[in-house]
Amino acid sequence: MRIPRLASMAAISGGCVNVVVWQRQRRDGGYSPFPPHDSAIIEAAYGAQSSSCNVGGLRVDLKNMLMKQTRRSECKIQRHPTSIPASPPILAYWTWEEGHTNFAVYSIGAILDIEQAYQQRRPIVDLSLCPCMLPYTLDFTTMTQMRHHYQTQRTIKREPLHHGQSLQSLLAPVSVGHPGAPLASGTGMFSLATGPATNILNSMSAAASAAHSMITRSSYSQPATYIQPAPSYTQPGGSGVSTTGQTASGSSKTTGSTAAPGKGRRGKKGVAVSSSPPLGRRGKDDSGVLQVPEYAVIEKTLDKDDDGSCPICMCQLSEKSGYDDEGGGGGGGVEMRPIPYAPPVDLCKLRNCGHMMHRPCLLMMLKSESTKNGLTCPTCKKVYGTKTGDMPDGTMAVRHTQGLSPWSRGIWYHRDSLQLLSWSPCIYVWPRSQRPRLIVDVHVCTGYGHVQSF
Amino acid sequence: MEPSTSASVRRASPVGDNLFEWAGSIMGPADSVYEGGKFLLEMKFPPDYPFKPPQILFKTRIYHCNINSQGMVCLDILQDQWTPALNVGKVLLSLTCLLQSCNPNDPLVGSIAAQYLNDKEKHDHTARLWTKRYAR
Repeated sequence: MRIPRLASMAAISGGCVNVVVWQRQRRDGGYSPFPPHDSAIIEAAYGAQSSSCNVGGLRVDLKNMLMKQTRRSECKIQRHPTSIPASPPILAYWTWEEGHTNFAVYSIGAILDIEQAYQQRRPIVDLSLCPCMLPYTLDFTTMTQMRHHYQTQRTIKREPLHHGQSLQSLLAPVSVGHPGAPLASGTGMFSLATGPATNILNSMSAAASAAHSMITRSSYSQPATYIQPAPSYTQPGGSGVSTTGQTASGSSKTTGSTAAPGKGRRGKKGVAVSSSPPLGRRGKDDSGVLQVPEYAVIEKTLDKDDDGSCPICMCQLSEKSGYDDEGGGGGGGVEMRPIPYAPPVDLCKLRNCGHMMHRPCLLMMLKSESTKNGLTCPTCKKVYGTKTGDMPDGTMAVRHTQGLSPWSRGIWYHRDSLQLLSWSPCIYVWPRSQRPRLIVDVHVCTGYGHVQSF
Repeated sequence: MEPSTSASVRRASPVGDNLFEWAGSIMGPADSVYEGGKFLLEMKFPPDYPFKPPQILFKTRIYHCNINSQGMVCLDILQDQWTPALNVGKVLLSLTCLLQSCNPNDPLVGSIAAQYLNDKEKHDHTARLWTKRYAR
């Protein structure tokens, strides 16, 4: 199966920072970001709820989200909350010449990649292999960019930021939206939305499940051992040099934060609950922090037409999840004993398709290896998040050769599964994480994995 | 044609005390070349079962382009199209549908698929013969 190559590489990076970038509409309808200084000025005015501000001599009307370019023409502007991966401080931004000595700013994601390559003193950088995936190669010796295939060249410029400032500090962190602004409804779902409700529901269900399990344990000492997940969800122990075809358990919580620049897909979804506390009882024995995935919303009540069964544990949605307790749902014991009160059920509803299931079931499904870094609705198979690669799970031998030149990091090779005994170069090494993450390309499918040990 | 939903046509139950190993059987669907045959199945459930598909083996030999001589089945829902919402009943129903209409475009046994496409009469004859010989 051929897949879009590395659809969103940034989605797999851990530790992203949510920031706001202001953009203005070009003549072709697309949006270009403002330079970071200007973006910071506009965001400050937006946060102070003022109706307008001046950027580089041009007036920005925040009430109508317009910017006056000349006396007559105006262009739309938009607030674009995005997220960038944690990276060393970026001390300059980059622009390219769009014609008539006019320089346009690269998107934030591209700036991160270019500046990092520049700081590493690489002579050239191929952006198509970087997370921003733009079809350009940049030559720092001649300060030009060349577009792949067309081979057109343009001048690029590095614009250092003010002394001591970094790009990250200039981009405002995502805050609650401006109540009066037209886009507030679109942006306000960031960070707030279900926060307090989550906490209440969590503490309630934790208390309830504790009480519930006490009841069941005291009278039925033998815990039911019906199909219960084995502890093999965590990282398979690797020996020697190996890379796994799947991410570790941490991937499920970072799928939400992508740094894909300028692509509005992320902007609408919103990072819903990033600070949800771990689920009461489970938190102890599981290494990963259990969080509500961003593609699901917590439901407190059942809709009238949604009183069926959970597609994962097959229990009724009005009852507890089969994965809610350590005893694996309590088996028959719970059903025979009349429950003195109805315990609050931990439910969630997928954002797009609206299918409901128990939240513990969904979390358990996310932890399982089969959902690599996206989620497929078990009922209708709608895909949430971005799937990168369709390599089968497993391990693959890799090896590393030292580079000869100072800027070279050496080359990683991986064992090609179809051509045994041959080594193929990995197409990209993801350097921004603690452990190197390799992107490999095996014939028609692309995948990635961690290097487990050296 | 809609396969019969009667419970006697498809059966499955755990083998002994082990809930992770099941044995089952499906009857060859009516109006197919496997009509009258009873095909025994062996199902193995992985420890992380609802999130991973069960492994299904045909213990009875069958002349089918998606089932090989070891009994392995080539069916998308038993591989990458698995979802936790599926259960044993739905899997058995899918297997019955697979017997009803095979998929020669994604074969596990290429020779049978080629014969199905080129010489369907001979394919049907052999399949009936095998059903009579092994599945009764």
